[in-house]
Amino acid sequence: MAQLSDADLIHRARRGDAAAWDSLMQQHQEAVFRLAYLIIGDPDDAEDAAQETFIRAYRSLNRFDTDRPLRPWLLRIASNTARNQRRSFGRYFAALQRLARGEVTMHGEPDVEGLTIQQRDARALWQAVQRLNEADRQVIYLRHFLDLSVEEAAGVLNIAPGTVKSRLHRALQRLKDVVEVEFPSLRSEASQ
Amino acid sequence: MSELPILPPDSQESDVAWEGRVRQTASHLRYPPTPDLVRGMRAGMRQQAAQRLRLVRAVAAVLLILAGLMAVPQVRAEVRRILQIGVVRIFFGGETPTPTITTLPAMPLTATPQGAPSRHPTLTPIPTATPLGSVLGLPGETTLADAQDRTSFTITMPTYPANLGDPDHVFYFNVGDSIVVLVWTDPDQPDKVRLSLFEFGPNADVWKKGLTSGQELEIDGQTAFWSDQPHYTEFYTNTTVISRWVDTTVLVWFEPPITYRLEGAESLEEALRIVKSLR
Repeated sequence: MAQLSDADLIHRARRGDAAAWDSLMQQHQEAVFRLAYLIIGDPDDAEDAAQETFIRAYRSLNRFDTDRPLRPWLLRIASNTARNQRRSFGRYFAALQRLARGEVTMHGEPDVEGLTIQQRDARALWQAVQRLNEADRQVIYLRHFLDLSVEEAAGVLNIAPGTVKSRLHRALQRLKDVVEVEFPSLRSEASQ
Repeated sequence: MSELPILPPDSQESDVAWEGRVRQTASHLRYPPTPDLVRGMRAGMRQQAAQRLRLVRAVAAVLLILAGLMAVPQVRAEVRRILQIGVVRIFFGGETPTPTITTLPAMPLTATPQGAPSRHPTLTPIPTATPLGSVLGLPGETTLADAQDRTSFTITMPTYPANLGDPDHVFYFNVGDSIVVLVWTDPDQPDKVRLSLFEFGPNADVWKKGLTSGQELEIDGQTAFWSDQPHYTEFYTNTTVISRWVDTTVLVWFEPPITYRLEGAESLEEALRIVKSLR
């Protein structure tokens, strides 16, 4: 199963081969979950969004064009699902329920003390990116946090590769401004 | 391999160096462990199936009640269904207006509204619409470059069918938000529209009326709608209504934050290929 291409696995999954779909999920679940986590910022909600992504993808599988790579398509669904979930009332209701049950964890805020300097800087950088508008955030998450190629990011965003490059360039300029004004700790640490 | 120094950006540093620092720093972000989504999905689908079963039972009970109510003519006349896709609201049921095709008078599309503009419903009577005979009757014709300058979003164009090329006509108008319409005509009959693509900004306000059927589907996880039934499309402000009688196929879909509406595809299959080709 591991040697089959995504397209082969999709054809099998369409015929009802559950193992083929499981294999596809295992290959792509980390990227899907991480993108949802970056957008939502909470691991429980990100897990829900990632799960919903695969359910939606499975139901739309017959319409997927197997000439195209699967990962950008999955990440596009994940991005839409996570953004909808972030805005949804249900998310706040679920958080309130967890609060009422005393299940509040700091999943979204991992133990900062246990982080290395690089990890703290990465976390601060993520916070800086969150100050940007949605289009800027998306392109930086895809290219630099998830390490997608320009072509893959273009597939997720449904824009031309050239537009990814220009949008990323502008987003990085704006990120630079945010870091310089709002994240002086990053500057002082680096200068040490 | 030696690592690049961590942030910050030096205002003098090159864009390439800054991008390298961002990439390097982002690579250190600690994510929560990825959960076992395979098991979760199976449980999720079972849960959704159980919820659907409960929903089906509840709907069946409601339908029984509605069936009784629908026997009353006054109730039947008031029943409507609304589907919202992005900024487009689709009203099902009701009477389908008789098409009265007229050519376009000078439509006050960008006319100054009387009183403060507001997107919220008011009790002000809505003016009577003058139906346009063709998408080519829309006001606000301009160039693609000008339309792009005036919109906050990137205008996308289909790369399928391969011979489509640039649009023959571009319209820009603002009804609550930017609306861009790209139109391709038949090369042999310049008055005959081959295909048109509407792109609506996130605050536009669009209604479709008079539909009694259509097909709901999903495109990239978002609800979409396909219709090959004649119907009215209306763009509303407080003081202006632009109405069009549409007698060709329409696909409406939402790619946040933009809503798209494709008119004139020969089949749903062709429409979906065009959707996938948007760049």
